[in-house]
Amino acid sequence: MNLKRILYVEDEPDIQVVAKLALEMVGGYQVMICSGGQEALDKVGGFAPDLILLDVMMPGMDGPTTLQNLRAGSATAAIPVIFLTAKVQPAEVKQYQALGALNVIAKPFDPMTLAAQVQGIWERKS
Amino acid sequence: MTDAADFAAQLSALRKHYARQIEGTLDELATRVAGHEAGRVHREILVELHADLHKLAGSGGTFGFSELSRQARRLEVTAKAWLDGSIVPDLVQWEAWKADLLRLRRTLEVPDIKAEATAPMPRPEPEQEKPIRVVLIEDDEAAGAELSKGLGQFGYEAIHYTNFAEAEITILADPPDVLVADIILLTQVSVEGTDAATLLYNRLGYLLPTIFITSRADFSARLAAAKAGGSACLIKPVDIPVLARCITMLQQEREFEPYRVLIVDDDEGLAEHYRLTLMSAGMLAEKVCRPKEVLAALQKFHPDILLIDLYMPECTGAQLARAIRYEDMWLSTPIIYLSAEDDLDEQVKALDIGGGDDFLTKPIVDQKLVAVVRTRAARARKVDELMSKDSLTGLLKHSSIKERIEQEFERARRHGKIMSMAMVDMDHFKRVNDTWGHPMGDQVIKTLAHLLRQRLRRQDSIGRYGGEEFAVVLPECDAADAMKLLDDVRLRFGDIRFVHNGQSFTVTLSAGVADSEQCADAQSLLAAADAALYVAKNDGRNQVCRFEDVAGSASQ
Repeated sequence: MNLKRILYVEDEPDIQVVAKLALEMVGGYQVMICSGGQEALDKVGGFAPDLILLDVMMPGMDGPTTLQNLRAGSATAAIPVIFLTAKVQPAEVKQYQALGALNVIAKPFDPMTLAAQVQGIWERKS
Repeated sequence: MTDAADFAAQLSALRKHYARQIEGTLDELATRVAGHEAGRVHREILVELHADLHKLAGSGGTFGFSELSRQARRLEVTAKAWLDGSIVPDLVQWEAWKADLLRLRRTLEVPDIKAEATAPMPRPEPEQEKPIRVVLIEDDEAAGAELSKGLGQFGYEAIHYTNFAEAEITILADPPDVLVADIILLTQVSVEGTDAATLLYNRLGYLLPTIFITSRADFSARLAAAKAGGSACLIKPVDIPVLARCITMLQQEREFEPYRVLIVDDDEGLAEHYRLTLMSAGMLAEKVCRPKEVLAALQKFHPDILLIDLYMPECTGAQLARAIRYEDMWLSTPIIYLSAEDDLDEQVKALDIGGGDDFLTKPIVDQKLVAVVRTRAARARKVDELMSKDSLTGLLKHSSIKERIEQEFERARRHGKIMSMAMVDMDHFKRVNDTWGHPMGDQVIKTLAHLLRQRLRRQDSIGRYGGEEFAVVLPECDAADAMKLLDDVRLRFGDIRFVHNGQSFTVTLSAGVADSEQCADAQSLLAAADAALYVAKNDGRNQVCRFEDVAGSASQ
């Protein structure tokens, strides 16, 4: 399946703008931005993304909790998730993958290569 | 305006906006720490500062301020340690930290060079697999250089430091995958009132995978390594292939796939409860409430283990287990029955007729469910691996790699793509065994297996074809690229020095390559690669030959 629609969950406005730009203009994806875990859970059904990018540390519902909620819903359980985090420590990567995340992208990301990184992970997932 | 230029222009505008705004943020941070003294700083303030630094660390580099990210990250790590209560800052530490925080503004003066240029738009290409990063702490300059060069041959990215103080910054700012350190430099050098190993653990909040090296072969060195949480302890001079293997093993432990559990229970609420319990323990679980849906679920989900309720309306769990076992595919998958039944006779009967492996009596304590499932699944995986993999090298066995050649050949045909394969054989291997002994011969075989795994792509398959012969399957790769790849492996392998009783030696290899364009079926592909290997051997060994060249030379 081709990757077309991406839901990006991130609380920081600066990063929201640059990520949307990078994924849309470089990657050619359709991107929806949500500012928090709860908003993502509310909107995921309507947008039906192929892939979700989740920031780990967010106020309110954090990334891992959002993932658990996604996994618990029957319509959203199978949507692949990639975490973004500034704290990529080996123990955490393992923990996130155990939660069912595809992979982790380190922050700060490079806007020039973000789309390529996402595409790479998507292609490797099978 | 082209898309690429448009993107660059917008990015540049965003960067300028970020830079303006971040100046304000940094000024505000500076005001917040001013006036606070060590020991007096309120926890809430530290919590806020930590959160802000975390944001800066995560965003700076995206907007072309990598140095800001790096410095903020260092400050964040320290603040985290203080918050966790593992270290209480003294006056000197607090003032130093504050000074570093105030200096963050200066990092805005050094934006990344590449961010300034309007870079051409890159095509989204698959992400390159990142090399495993190793930090090496060894005070002997020459030995350290030798080790990092050796690790480089195996495709690791090793950075060498001669003391802990220099390595510390790198390790904390950007933790490597593995640390290799002289035991004395990490456990007997005092830093901030503790030893370096403890300091790292406190600051990072987890145990960095560590391999110790030591010049003393005695018990006390090993014990020191064990106390410091080392995963291995190797005696100097370090045998590089052995070190490389240790690193890979540590790495594999981390790339762990979660266990997959299929739950069969007609009580949907209960099944959902088990599913959530197992999911929150890091496993992947799915539930099926009707026995007749089980076979389809098995095919789709491929569980490592099955949990089956003993009493269901359509059939008993034991009968269902028996029906599942009719298929060879599921013969070795562990089955655990769940039941309120505490009558021993009934349980024994169920185990007898269905071929289940164990019993859990409801109500089941969550922890027990998790522990039982995990142990069973772990063992099942291990057994599965032992059945399909060669015990010495961990590569696919002869029969499995032959199967893989056929599968990949068929797949390439179906998709109109090309694939290639190679036969690899060590030169004069018998001499290695005769001169240095069989244990050393095994060592050489393991090293080549390891090097192949390091150099090939994830989608490639490698198998041990015979004693010292290996078969490699390379999907979506033609013979010309396969030649390059194998020749690179040949050069690297020839450079590896094996050490035995103080004497060292090297071993070379020959390989034959062929691709699917030249062959009608998998059988003839295998024969072609074999023929090419034969030519490489006859032509003086230590080289890689291609089937085309072989065919050409035969017709001349």
